[in-house]
Parts: sequence; C-alpha cells; structure tokens
Amino acid sequence: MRAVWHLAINSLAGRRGRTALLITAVALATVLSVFVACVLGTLHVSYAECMGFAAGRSDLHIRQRSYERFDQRLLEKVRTWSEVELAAGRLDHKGVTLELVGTDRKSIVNIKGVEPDIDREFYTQTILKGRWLEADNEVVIDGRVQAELQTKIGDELEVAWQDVKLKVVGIVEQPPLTVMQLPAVMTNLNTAQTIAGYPDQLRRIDIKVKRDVVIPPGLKAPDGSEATLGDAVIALHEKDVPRDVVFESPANVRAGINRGVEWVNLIGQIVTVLVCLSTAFIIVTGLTTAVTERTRELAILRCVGTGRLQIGAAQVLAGLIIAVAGAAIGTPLGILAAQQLYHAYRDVLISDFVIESHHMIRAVGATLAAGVIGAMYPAFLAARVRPLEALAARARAPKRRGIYVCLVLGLLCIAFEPIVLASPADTELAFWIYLPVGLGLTFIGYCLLCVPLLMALSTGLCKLVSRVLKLPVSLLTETVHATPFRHGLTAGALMMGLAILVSIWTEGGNLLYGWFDTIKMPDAFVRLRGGFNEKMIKIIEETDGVTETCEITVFPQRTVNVQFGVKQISPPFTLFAACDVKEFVEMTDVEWIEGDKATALAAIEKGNAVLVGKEYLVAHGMGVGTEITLKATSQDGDATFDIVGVVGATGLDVAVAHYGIGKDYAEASISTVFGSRSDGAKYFGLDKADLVLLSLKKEADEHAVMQSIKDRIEPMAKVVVEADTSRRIRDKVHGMSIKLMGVASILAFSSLLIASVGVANLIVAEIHARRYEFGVLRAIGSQRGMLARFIAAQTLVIAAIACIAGTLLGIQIAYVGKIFHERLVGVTYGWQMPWAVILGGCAVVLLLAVAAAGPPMIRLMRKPTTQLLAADA
Amino acid sequence: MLVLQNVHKTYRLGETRVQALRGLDLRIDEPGFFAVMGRSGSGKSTLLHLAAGLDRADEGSVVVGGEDLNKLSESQLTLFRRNRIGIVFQKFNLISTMTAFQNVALPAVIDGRPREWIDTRVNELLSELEISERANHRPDAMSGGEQQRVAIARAMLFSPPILFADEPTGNLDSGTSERLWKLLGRIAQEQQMTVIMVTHEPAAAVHCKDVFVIADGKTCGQFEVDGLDASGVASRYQQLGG
Repeated sequence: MRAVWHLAINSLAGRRGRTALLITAVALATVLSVFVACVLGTLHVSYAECMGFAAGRSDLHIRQRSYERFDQRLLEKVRTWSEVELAAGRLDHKGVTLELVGTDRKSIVNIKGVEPDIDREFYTQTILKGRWLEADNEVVIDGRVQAELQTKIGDELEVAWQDVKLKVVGIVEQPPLTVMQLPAVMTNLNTAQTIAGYPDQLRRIDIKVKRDVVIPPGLKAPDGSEATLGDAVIALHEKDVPRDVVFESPANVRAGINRGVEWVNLIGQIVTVLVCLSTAFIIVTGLTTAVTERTRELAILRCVGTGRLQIGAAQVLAGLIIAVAGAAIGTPLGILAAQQLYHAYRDVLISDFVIESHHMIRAVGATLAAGVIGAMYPAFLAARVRPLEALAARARAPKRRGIYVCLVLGLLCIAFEPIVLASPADTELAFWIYLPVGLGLTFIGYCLLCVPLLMALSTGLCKLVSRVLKLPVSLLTETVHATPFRHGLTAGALMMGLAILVSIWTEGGNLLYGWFDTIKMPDAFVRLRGGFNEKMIKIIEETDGVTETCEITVFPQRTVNVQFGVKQISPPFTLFAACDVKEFVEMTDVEWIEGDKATALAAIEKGNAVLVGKEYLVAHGMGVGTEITLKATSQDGDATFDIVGVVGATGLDVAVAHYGIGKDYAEASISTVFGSRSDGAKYFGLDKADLVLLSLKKEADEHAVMQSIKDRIEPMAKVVVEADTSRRIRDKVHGMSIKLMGVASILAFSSLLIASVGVANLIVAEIHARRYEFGVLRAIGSQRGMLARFIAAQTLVIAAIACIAGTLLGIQIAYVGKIFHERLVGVTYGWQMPWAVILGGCAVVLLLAVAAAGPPMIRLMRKPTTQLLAADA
Repeated sequence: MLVLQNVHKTYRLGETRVQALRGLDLRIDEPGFFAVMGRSGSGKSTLLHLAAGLDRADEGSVVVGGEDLNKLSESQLTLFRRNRIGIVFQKFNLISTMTAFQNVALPAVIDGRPREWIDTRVNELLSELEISERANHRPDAMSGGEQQRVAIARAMLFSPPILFADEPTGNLDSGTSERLWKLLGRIAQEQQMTVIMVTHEPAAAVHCKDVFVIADGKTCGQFEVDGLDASGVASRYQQLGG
C-alpha cells in the first residue's frame, strides 16, 4: 500500500500545475453540487416546518371537502366524543380590507377567527408586543400588517364596507413562508363570523386526541405508514360527520410534504448525476492525458519491477486524492455560497440555514465516486503499459479500433432511452429508468461520440480554422489526429453545459410558446371566494365593456380510474368545472377535438356526461365512448361520467393556479373535466359559481372594466374581488417562466465553467508533450504568434465539436421531455429551436475554451527557444 | 547464470514482420563482465530484452539464474525483474520528477521494504558510486554520467546476480564512457556479479572478459578479450562475422 501511495503522490506532485487544475475543476463541481444540496435541504426543511406550522399541534383536523364553510354545531358534536381531549374551531375569511382609522392607509388581509382560550393549545403565537385576544372586536396582527398600516397597539382599524371597528391589542411573529399569501390578523370567532357574514360557520376544527386512546391493531394510515391517534379517531367516527366534511390527519399533510420532498429529491438527483458525470469526465481526460504523457515513466516502473496492479491502483488513488482535495475545497465554498443566498431570502424561509445530511452525503459522495470512477480507465491504460515502451523511439498512431469502439458504445448509450420509450414498457417506468440511468447514459454516449465525430469532422474543421488563423493545415490536422481521444473527450466534458442550456430553452420555450401561448383563454376572469350571488352576476353582465359572461365553479376532484403524471410526485386530481357547458363552449370558442357537439351538449344536460380536456385523449386514450370516475364528495361512493366530447385547452387550469384554488399545490392539476351545474352540485357540492369568465369588447379599456367590476362588487361581498385579464395572467406566467429558465441556465453556465478548467488542463498537457516540437518550429523561424494561434486553433476545434455534440444532446433531452409531457401529462406542443440561445451558447463555449487556454498559451509564447529544445524529444 | 537455447523472436512493425532472433544460442556460466556485440539490427538488444524479462521469446528457452522465463507468469516476471536482475538503459530512464535518492530507492519502495533498510542501502550505493552529493537533485540537474551512475545504483539495489546494460554509454562522451566501463568491470569483480553489456563499440568491449558476437539474429561466435586493445577486439569481431 505504501508503494501505491508513493506512486500516486509522485505522479500528482510531479505535475503540480495540472494537478492543481484538476483539483480546481473538481472543487468547482463540488461547490455547485453542495450549493444545490444546501439550498434544497433548507427549502425542504422550511417547507416541512411551514406545513407543520399550518398543521399545528393537533392530531387531526376537520374541514369541508372544498375548503368551504360548515355548520358550527359539528364542533359541539366533536366535543362530545370521548376520545377528544380538546377541539377548537376556526374561520378564515380572505380578502378583507382594513383601514387604519383617521388615515388612508389600507391593508388587504386574511381574517382568522379563533377561539382565543384554546387556540394557543394548537398553534404557537409568539406575541412580540401587547397581549393575546380577550374580547370581541379585538385583533392581533402580524408584522406585515403592522408595516403596511404603520399601526401600533391601541389603534383602531375599520373593516371596509362594514360598520365594524377592531382594536389592535397585540402583534405576533409573521407565520412562515407566507410572503406569497395575504397578511393575517387574528380575532375571536364571533367577530370573524360577523365580518364574514357567516354566523355559526367554521372552516376548520382542530382536534387533540386523548393520549390513552387505543389504536386498533392492524390499522394503517392512508399512506401505509403506522396509524396515529388521529387515524384511530377517524376509524371510529368517519360515519358520524356530514358527507361534505372530511377528516385530515397528519398523513394527509405528510402526503403533500412527501410529494414536495420527492420533487426536491428529484432535482437534487438530476443535479448530482450531471455534476458527477462532468467531474468524472474531467478526471478521465485529465488522468488519461497524464498516463499518455507518462508512458515512458510507466514503462520504466514496469522495467524495475512495479506490478500492473500497483500501477493501476496508484492511478485510482490519484483520482481519489484529486476528488478528496477538490471536495475539501469545494464543500465549504458551496456551503458559504448557499448561506449567502439564504441570507438574501431570509424573510421568505422559516427555518435556519440547514445542511441535510443525506443531501450533503449525496453531493460529496458523488464527487468522490466521480474521482474513483473517472480514474478507472486511466488506471486500466496505465496498467497495460508494457516495459518495452520505455525503449521505443517511435510514436504510435492511435488505434482505429478504439475510435470504432467509441462510436458503437456511444450510439448504444444514446439509443438506450429512445429504445425504452419505443418499447411497450409503461411510460412511468420509462421515466424512472430515465432519471438515474437513461439521462446519464445519454450524456456518456454523446461524450464518447465526440471522438469519432472529431475524426469525421476534423479534416474540414482543421482546414477552416487553419485558413482563418493562417496556420499550415497539416500541422493542426495531424495534431488532432494524433490524439483523438484526448481532444474528443475534452470536447465531451465541454459540451455538457451547452446541452443543459439548449435543453432548458428548447423544452421550456416550446412549453411556453408552443403550448401555453396557444391556450385559448377568455378575455378576463373574476373570482370571489364563497361564490357570487345573482345580483353580483347581473352587475358583472351589465358592466360597460363586457359582452359575454359564463359562471363556473371549478375545483380539483380526486380521480379514481386515471392519473396524470408520475404517481409518486403528481397528485391524483383533475379539475371539475361545473357550468352551463353550452354557454361555456360558445363563449370560449374552444377547439372541438372529438365527438359531435350537439349530441355531447345534450348528453351533458341530461347528466352524468362530461367533456374532457385533450390531455385525457393524448395521455390515456380516453375519448368519446369511455368513462371517467371521480371520488364524489357530497355523497358516498364514486361518480362515473360518460365522456361525450374532447376539447382543447381553455386556460381554466391557468386560472386555478393563478388564484390558488385547491388550497395547496398538492391538488393542482392541468387536466379539466366539464360537467353540468347539476352534476357539480350533486356529486361535489359545487353549487355556487365562484369564477366568472368574461368576453370584452375589443375597444374596451380592460383595466377600467376590471376596476369597475371590483368597485361595484366589493362593497356587496365585503371582501376583495379578484379580477384579472388573461393578458395580465399570461404576462405573469411568461415572466415567471423566463425567470425560472434563467435560474436553471446558471447551472448550465456553471457546468461550462467547470469544463473549461478541463480544457486548460488538456492544453497544458499538450504544450508539455510537444514542447520539443514547438522548439523546433521556433528554431526554424516560426513567430511566437504562430504558436499562440496553433494552440487557439486546437482549442477552437475542440470547442466546435463540443458545440455540435452539445446542441444535439440538448435537442435529444428536450425531445425526450416532449415525449414524457405527452404520454404522462397529455400536453402536446409544436417544436421550435431556440436559435438565439443555441448560437449564444456556442459563442460562450468558444470564448470560454479559448480563454481557458489563454494562460498556458501565453506561458508558451514567453519560453525561450533553447528551453523548449532542451526538452526530451 | 544465463542460458539461451534456440531462441526465436519476431516483431511486427506496422505491416512488416521483422525476425529479430533466428535460433540464437548463448551460455554464460560464471560471474564477470561480458559484452554482446553486433551491428545495428543484429538482434543484440532483443537478446537483452528477452534475458531481462522485458519480453518473451516466440520459441526456444531463456533461463536466467535458474529460472525459465517463458514459464513465469506476468506477475512472476515482474518480481523477477524487481529482485533477481538489474537493468541499465542507454537513455538512463530515470523518473524525471524524482530525485537521485528517490530513483535509486524506487524498487525498494515498490517492494515494501522498511524505511531504515532503504535509507541505509541507498546511501551506501550512492557513496560507492560517488554521487552522494547529487542525492537530492533531479535528473535535469545532473550530467549524463551522473544520471547513468544513478541508474546503475538503482540496478544494484537488491544486489542481483545479473546486471544487464543496454548501450549504457550511448549518450555519453568518451571520457565519461571510459570511466563507466571501468566501473561496470569493478562491480562485476567486487560483487561477483555477471554484468552483460550490449555494445557496438570495441573500446567498450576491451574492459570485458569475453565478447559474444551476434549477427542476423544468431550467435556467430565468442572470444576472450584477454589483453586485446580496441583494434584487436574490432579485428576479432570482424573475423567472426560481426
């Protein structure tokens, strides 16, 4: 072992500059990997704590299925159950406008009605100033409300459109992760019910179960985990509550968190795989270059009796040392970078900065694994060196067989995922194969393909570059042909960043412009939580500028016989839109894809028939003549509907996401089912329209129309009415999407930066290996500038191959994404290439590569000719 | 010591096949300083490669120090090269990133010898070969003669019974070469080693006990040096068909 250690250290220490470059590349990759791990870990814990906060210390909640109100008498009934230690009622009422009396300062808030005496048994309220609630018409506000109204203890707040005044008695800590939500004020239940206009109504009951309740043996939580006290109570009293009311145990909350965690883990896995591959390739090319350079040295070692295993083990150990050194430098830097980001977003996150051990182990472990894996091939090469190679004077041409092996292996790796997708295998299985295996193999395949690609294109490329840079053509061509693996694999490492960039903007761009932008949305939406009454609808219809309206109640419903997306991550929900379907179809002019319109509308009117969105047909082949089954929420059992028509996208899912309908992400869906109002009421309790779609006159001032509606409805509703044009919603989605793609592009550029260090390493090795040749060139009259242009030319050839391979890889990744979108989610879109991004990305690749080669190039130019000639030939 | 019988070896160079040895026979039974002479392409270097375990014969037997090299496995051959013989090359073949001390110590480090043993033995050899003052210098800071002495020290680390030298003075000036030949002769005598030197220079063979003449991949003959000078050696060499 000492011998192996000695050989490894010597091989690294003997080429300090190149070892430093390799360590730098690994360190950069580790920084990226650890940064992502820390960010994901903190987000995960923050989210879990937020959900935990929302869940409180209760063992169980009760709520209405559609998050609407229910009768307070249920609370009295729950308190009679022998298993219940404590039960508290809550009523939330969103969109209330509070004004500070005597000023014009306003804040739109969420009023939370609580039972002050017992609510604090369930939720921790950290009073920053003042006291807790004691009487009616008192409020405790959070920090955001205080900031908006600039209010203090003792001030009076007036509820807009109501003759209700509230006294500020306390200020509490702002709840976590609520920056996207309305600020909150707490008041007692009585006061909240008065403000909401719903006496004796609740939205939620929190329950603490007695600790001595016996959990029936064999009972499991809905997610299959161990049953809790809450699950035991559910089992006993499920039939004692009204049909439209549900129990929500911690398992339900956990399921939501788990789906979020799965997404977080997925992102973490993808980043880890990519960084690991990138690191492994840099180590492969770096160490392979070193082995080739040290062939004679290795042969000497063999001559004096060093075993093959010792030489191979020394290479693997060298790879591990580089990885450990890189990880040791990169890990604290990555943590530091993540901490800086954390401090920038401190107010959004609940938890402290968190380093989750499993994320970190994965991040650092991937780097170490990459070091060992990347050193395997150089170890194999080094161990194969024969003693007589120390004595050979002639250079050897690279074996063609190796190039063909790269071609065949590369094509096989690239073909792996398309073959899986073309096979009869379940698409979800194909997805789970793709992430850990298919994606990695695709990257490896393109990396290997860079070698034969280089050989195939080098003659033409070298001619072009030589002409541009005024070099002898044969010089560059022969250099590239002499070491195709070195050049090709370096191009492979360089192409990854460009591939990520191309795939992000191709898939993202096509989703945005090819799918989202083609959705036919109505001109505007108006939404009122709790629903519109007839008078309000009439006001909207008669507003100047409005030509048509359609009232809808839309809410996510649990599916029974179909699920979109991937089971572990996607929630089993679809949107059920209850409306006058004929009116809706005519108003939105929705694309009719399957079924006879008149027959379909008649069937829907009769009942138990629906139109479905195109996603059903595309992803599941569910069209006219098939059935869809949903879990009924206002009666026992399931609701089965005949599918009588298939229509195109309507934008309802966009509105749902925009207005946060469905309470949390767990119930979001982009598939929609359209049924009659009577079916909506009968099966799901969707009786009052809470969303109105509007068509506007072309010449109407959209903003003025929306404001007019708000001005006249809000005093009636006594809460804020949300009114948005589809143009505004589209702009918002565009803005967010571009931002997200921009953030993801940072990953791509980081990968490019890491790879450019690999390029620098290659150039340094090339210069070292050919220094005698360069000395001869200088001796016979070549200018220094020619040497620099030669190095630049080599780099440009590598970068050009990286651009071609990276673009092809990015396109393939995006295309596989398109197939998954189609088959799993039913979303189809056209195909446009983001040429500006591709060309920009290629330009960055070329510039970065040449910049990386700059320092060794300059050092070469400065070396005296005699020093170059003194090198071993 | 060294017995080669009916040894054949063919090399492939690109598309061409070159028969380097065509049934060569050679026998050395005693310690001493011996030369193998022949023209360029005669097969003398190939003979040395086979005898040193750097390559395997296609046919015939190669027995060195009682070991039939053709019967040894790859790992056994490696150990053979490490412990049982020493090799000195024309181009010194030192590791450029190691000091003189480290280069000499290399086989012992690979063999896992204790540090104390390595330190004692290496210093002893460096002193014997009069290069102690270069112990911490890398090859690029030493003259050719000094580098070759380091290479000899490395070859002698485990006191092997046989030491092979392949044109050891090919890259040295005449004065340095002369000193080196004398050194090899002294080593053979004092250490009772068999030192076999491949050379094409009669001036080198003058220092040897016997000369074996190789031509066209076969042994042409052998003669005792016994006080011959360089021209005498050249004359006898030519008579034997060298």
